[in-house]
Amino acid sequence: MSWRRRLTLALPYLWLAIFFVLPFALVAKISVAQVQVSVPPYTPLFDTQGHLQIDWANYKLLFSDTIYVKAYLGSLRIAALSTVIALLIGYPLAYAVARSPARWRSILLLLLVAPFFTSFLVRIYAWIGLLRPTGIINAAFLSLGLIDEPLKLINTEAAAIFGIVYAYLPFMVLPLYARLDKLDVTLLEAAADLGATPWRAFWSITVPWSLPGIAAGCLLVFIPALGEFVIPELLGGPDTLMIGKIMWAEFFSNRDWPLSAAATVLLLGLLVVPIMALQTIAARAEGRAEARA
Amino acid sequence: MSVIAVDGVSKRFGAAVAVENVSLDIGDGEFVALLGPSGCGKTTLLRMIAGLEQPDQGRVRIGGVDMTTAPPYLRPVNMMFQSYALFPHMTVAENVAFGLKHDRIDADAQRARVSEALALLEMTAYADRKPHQLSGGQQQRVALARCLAKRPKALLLDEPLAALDKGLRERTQLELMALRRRLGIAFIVVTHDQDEAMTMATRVAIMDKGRILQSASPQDLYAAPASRAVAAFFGDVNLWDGVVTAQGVDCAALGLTLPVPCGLPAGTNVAVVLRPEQLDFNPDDEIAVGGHVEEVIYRGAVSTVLVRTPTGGLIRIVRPNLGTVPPVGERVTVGWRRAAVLVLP
Repeated sequence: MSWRRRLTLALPYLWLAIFFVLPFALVAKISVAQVQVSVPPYTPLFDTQGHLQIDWANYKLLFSDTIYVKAYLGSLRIAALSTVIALLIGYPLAYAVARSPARWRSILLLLLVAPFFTSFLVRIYAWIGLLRPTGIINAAFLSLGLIDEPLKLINTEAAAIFGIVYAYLPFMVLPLYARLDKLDVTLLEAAADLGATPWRAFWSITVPWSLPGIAAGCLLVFIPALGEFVIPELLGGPDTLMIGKIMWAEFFSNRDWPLSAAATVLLLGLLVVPIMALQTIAARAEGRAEARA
Repeated sequence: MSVIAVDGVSKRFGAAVAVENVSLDIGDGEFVALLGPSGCGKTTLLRMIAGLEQPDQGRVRIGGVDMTTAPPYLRPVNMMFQSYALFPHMTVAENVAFGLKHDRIDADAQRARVSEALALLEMTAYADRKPHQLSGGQQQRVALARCLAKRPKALLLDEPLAALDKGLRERTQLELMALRRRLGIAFIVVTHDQDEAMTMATRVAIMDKGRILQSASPQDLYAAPASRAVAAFFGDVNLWDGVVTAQGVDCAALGLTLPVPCGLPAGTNVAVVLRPEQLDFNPDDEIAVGGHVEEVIYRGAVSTVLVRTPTGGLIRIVRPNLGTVPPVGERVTVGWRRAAVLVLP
């Protein structure tokens, strides 16, 4: 192997080492420390005598205090629900784009990513303006006489889920579209010719074909949704418990860096399991379907 | 009774006419080839029989039942696609079984039909492979088995040999012919290759610009083409313009009047058709024309000799390579019998 080739191969690993492994090692180090009033605000890894100081108290607390367990479960539930809803909305959307006439496709895809041209925060704030009790939606319904008092649209878990689905939908649609676009329509014609109704052809041909796209889309929605902080904070209100909010509160309000770091490490652990499961499914389906071409 | 009856069918895509007022009756056990250049509407006609396209006008009956608007999954015919369209995520056996799941057949009978179809095409050993692990020829056998497991009333084949190399193509032609004889169902094949159509089909329908020009056995098409276009498209041919006179047909390219009666009024423009194998270098024949050999195309068993006449016409002659083929530049006299001349309007 030439040195050029080695360098090319080394670059992504170097990138990962600098921007992922090293920061994560720092976070892991902080997670086994204790809070102390100093700069930085935690005990060092080695004390003055040079002894290693590892304290698992932060992790024990995360598992013993129900608020953390609830926050993790809340995050998992909200992320999972958001992913499922995004899939249910995203799949027909991706299918429609993939099946639309070629000259429309690029326009439709552009419309899909158009929201990214404005700031994410601005769009979430816009939803506050739409959903709040004095917001546009409630005002419209009130003036139409459909309701007598404002609906509680904001500061609910449903609003947080809605916001996450809204924000991450393109990440579901794009990989699905990329996959469905490559589906050979002749396969569906063959299925029909062999006696399959369109509905059965969809389930026996289209869905298996799109599994890698489904896996990729679900990962791209589930992972950021699990650690999401801004959307539940702005739309979910104080009752929506997600681990991202807890981490923020521990870090900035309580200045408890070690506990926040421990929560981060645990979250990563929670993410690795579904990622590896879905990667395996995707790799298997992709290998099956694409080795043909 | 005809198994498939296409009656006055037309199909347009936007402004383009794909198929125009086509009628075709296909009997049980017939091997019909739809032959024509690309864009002549042959594939569209096949897809309308399969139900993958809906005709704008006309009726399609299958087994005596009007199925003009029936969806493909209700039609008792099956199609082998040019790309084979095997399901990539299923094994060979699952592909073949796919069509049976939608029929009301119990699991044991399904298994029996799958192994029967695989055995018929000698693919039993590959039952657990995925399509991508097969060669092109093997994929085609699976596609055929998948159709035949359904026991269709007719098998539709869209350019079945286009993706195969020459040796395999000839073997597959013979196999398709044997298969059709054994199963006794109608085969309808779409092809742009006249040799393929001539070899396999019991009847060839020649299509051009959405219409069927003539539908007959290969022998009849070759010996008695109904029009200039058919004569030009089907088989090797000499085709010249001619004008009917009192003495016969005046052919400018040959510089002589052919003493053949044609029953058309004098002055009518006609096409003079002569098959190249009907000609010989024989000055004593009923009709003879002089010229010099311009080109000799060697083709193994036979050679095609191009002879230029003094009036500028070009005559194609096909002779077996038995030592009698003249060299380029030689002055020759080409002769033929009067009965070999076809005069077409």
